[in-house]
Amino acid sequence: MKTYALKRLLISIPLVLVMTFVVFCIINITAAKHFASFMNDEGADPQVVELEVRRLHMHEPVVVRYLYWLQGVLFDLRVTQERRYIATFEDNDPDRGDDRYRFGGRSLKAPLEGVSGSYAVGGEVGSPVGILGTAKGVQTALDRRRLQAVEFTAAAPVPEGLALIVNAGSGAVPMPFAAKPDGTATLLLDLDALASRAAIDQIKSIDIDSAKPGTAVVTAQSVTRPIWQEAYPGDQRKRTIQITFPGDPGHHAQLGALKSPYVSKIVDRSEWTPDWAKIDNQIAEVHKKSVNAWQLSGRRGPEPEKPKLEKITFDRLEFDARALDPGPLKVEIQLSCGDGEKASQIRIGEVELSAEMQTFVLPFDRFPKGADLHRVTGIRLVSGGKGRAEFDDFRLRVDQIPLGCGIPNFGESWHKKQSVITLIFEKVKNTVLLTLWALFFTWLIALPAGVYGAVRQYSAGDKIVSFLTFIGMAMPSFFLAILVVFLVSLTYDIPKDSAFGWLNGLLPIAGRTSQNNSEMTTLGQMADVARHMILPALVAILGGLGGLQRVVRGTMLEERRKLYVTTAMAKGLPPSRVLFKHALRNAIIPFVASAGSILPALIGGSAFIEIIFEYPGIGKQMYDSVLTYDVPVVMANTLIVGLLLVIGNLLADFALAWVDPRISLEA
Amino acid sequence: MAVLAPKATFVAQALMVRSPNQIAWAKLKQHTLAVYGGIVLIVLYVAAAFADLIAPYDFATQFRTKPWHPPSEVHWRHADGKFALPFIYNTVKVRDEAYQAHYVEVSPQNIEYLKLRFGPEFKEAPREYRLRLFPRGDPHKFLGLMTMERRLFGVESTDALNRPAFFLLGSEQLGRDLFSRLLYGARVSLSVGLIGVTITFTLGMLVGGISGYFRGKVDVVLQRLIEMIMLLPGFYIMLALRAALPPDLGTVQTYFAIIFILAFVGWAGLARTTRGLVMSISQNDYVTASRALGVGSLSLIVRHILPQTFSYAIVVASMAIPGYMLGESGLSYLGLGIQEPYSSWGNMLQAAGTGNDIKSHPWVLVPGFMIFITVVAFQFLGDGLRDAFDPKTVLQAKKGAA
Repeated sequence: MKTYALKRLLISIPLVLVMTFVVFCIINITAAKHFASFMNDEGADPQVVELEVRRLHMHEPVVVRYLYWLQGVLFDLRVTQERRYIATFEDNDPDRGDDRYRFGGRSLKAPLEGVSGSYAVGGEVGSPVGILGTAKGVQTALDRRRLQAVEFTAAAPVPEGLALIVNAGSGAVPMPFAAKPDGTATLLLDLDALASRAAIDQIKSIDIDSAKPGTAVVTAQSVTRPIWQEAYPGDQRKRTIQITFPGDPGHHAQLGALKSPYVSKIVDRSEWTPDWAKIDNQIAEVHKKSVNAWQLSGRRGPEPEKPKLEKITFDRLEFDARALDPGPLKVEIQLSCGDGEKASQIRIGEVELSAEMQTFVLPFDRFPKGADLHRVTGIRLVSGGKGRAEFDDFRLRVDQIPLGCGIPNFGESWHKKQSVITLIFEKVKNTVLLTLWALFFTWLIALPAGVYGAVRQYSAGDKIVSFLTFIGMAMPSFFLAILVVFLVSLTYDIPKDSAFGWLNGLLPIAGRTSQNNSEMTTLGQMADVARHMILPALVAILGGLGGLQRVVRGTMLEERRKLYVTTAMAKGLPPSRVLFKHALRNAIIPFVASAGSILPALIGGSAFIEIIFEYPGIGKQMYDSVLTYDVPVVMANTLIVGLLLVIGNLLADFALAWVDPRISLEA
Repeated sequence: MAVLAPKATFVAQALMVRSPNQIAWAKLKQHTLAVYGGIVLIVLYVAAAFADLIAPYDFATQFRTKPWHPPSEVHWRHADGKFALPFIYNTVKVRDEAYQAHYVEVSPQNIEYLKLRFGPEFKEAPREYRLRLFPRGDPHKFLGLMTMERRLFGVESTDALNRPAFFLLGSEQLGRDLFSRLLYGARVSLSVGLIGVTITFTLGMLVGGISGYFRGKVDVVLQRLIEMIMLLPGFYIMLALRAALPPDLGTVQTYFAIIFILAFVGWAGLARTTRGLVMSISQNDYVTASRALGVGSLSLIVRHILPQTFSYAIVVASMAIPGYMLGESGLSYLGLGIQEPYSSWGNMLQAAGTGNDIKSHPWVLVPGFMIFITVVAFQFLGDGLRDAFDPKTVLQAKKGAA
């Protein structure tokens, strides 16, 4: 038995690999082109695109890329889930009085200057953030998705009637400054409020105007919004606000946490409101710690499963890095160990970065003795001098164990900027749950229905069951799903207070949980999930039932005609015993054998169901990622579905050997 | 046959003179459901072939003023109650207080209401548009040969702003006739199965034949290949393959791409069963005899062995065609198959988006039922064919013959 299982699994390994290779080749035929265009859509500058292409090995031939992917899956054990960090060791010139916060990504090139005169709203080409620059007449759309507001402050003395004139489209919107007690005046250019008054996408320039002549010194400060808030409702895409501001000499960049995948704080989307006072406090707090760069990551839902590190001893730390500015840059690598008060920093080495991207290896045996490497919580980079550096892929490596343990590295989703494993783990769980329930009920119904059909052949009941199974077999699953959605949507029209009012809203037609799922008790949550699963499972059951019932009915009929049944009957055994003990035992064999074939059908068939019922499973995930050419997600899905099929077929074989003593798995 | 005892009945003697195919044909004719299935299929395929003629309008003809128009009401009586040849009235879209659109006929009964509703600028007078046979309509190429203006039935109407139209099954979002689109779509949906099965068969039977005939290393390699293809999750491969094709592919290319994708996923199962059959057939003496006579391997497989499996193949074909239809309609439903403005039964179902859509215009479900009917017909026919070619089932004697 064991050898058979082993043999089967060994045969499956090359099959699954070849299958993933085929899919990889297929999806990569056009993915590269779409990758570049996708990056351009995101507004990244060509340099960044180039970097990404290089990082993802998109310039290599398909086979090499596939090997990289395979290496990630089989041999790569990553401990941080966010795989890319850019450390900025920026020395701000204190003379410039640049004490404003600067928001945004790495291409913030034009610092805001306090000038009187005319502002033009524009953005650097390809920059991720709309930037207020000093160039006049630049006609660029103000990226409202990223910026929430721009705050203008006028230094005292404030000229009378100071106002901003927003020239948008064919009109101009005047906005007066509000005087403060200290003599200065502020104006919050709330982009949402502005949008209702002006065509914000067509802002040409912003002029400063006053009723009386004079000189005004106006500074501007932009306030970003958590951009998933409105721009992508319901999107689980990770949002990052990177807030950079000047710190003391010896700047730090807190880079990553090993235990917690997010750097500073995990913000639940639901509890995340742009409470800017709170953020200011946090900034002040961080400021005290003289940390240069600070990251806030937002993610919906609970914290993902952490990779279990405790049992693994690593041999070395690897990373790729380079200095972005010319000239070498010395960076000290520290590991943070432990949480809270017990936290300690261990210096593990210093590297000198050049302009070339290099791979650095820090063997752990050179680490100071007594370092509690099992409780590593983060990696810190400290630089004495100024300059900018780029770090890529912190990897903890093991020498002894050839296969990676823990979570295989499926890479990062191109589209959602999130590690694939966090993206699909839940989906796989959902699909397996749905498929297993559907399979269970299909069997539960098909077996008695098939036996009934054979025992009472050509009776009215048999004809009805046959008719229903025929419908189930002939109806395309997506059409069945449409019909079910339609029928259930009819119940939403029943008045709540009528006799059948309880039907209204009984069965939800989309999703996996209700909106308020997180507020329910554990039992309530389970009931909620079960309630959402009824309709998708029903359609899956109806689709799979027909074939199985026909199989049982056919074999049962065949067995009934056999001589041993006649003999048993002639001996005077009660018919029920003959049927259920003798005939059914034999009739059930093809039924069990078909289990192996029904599993792929259920998984494949459930894709349509998941799409129509918006059930977050791998089928829907696959559909979405195929449409967006998200290669890492497609590959991970393919591999997982392949493995599920292999395991399912193996289990079906075992079940067959168990049911039919004639079949021996040793052969 | 020659060893049959002389006491054999009339039926047995009657059987003796018939070829196996004749027996199968006779058995098939006795299978009522299969006969009905066959008739339905013949009707559908003929309708698809003559879609140009039968459809009252072109698949792309839009009636901009009549989106989501319910099936036209055919009148048999004039306003005064006298019997008339079938005619329809033109309709006007009216929105009620809840901004729900519905259509009101411009008939003598409704004209007062319409004048009240639209005011004096409503000028249209009630007029009966007679349903005609062979009216002038959208020009088309009949059977791809000659340009024709005549369609089988419909109303003749001028190019007015609110042009009257005869919708047998209602219209869809852009005011295109659902019945016409259904017929044009049938060309895609019905032919995909036939062409796909042809490809699958050529490939599956050839590979299965080679694998079963040569055995040994060839067999091992081909079987591993087949196992791999069978292991591929079909739907996912379909998605991935479709994604690999450029999205702006032309309709004809898309059509053949879909067939290729479906055939690629589907041939392995047939190859495996063919291999088993070929293995047992090649044990026969006549195969050895042919080989001794110096017949080449390929010619032996193709001309002598594979024909023995044809009866089995025909059964599997009729059972496999629905799979192709479902695959095509599924892909088109997801927006990955046949693209607008061309129609297929799958992409027509895209209009059935939500429950509310279906509630307000249930006729969008018709393509789904057409798929269902076709699949059932193929299943019945396949059932009948299987029984007909199965030597175990007995040809029932005609009543009074024995």
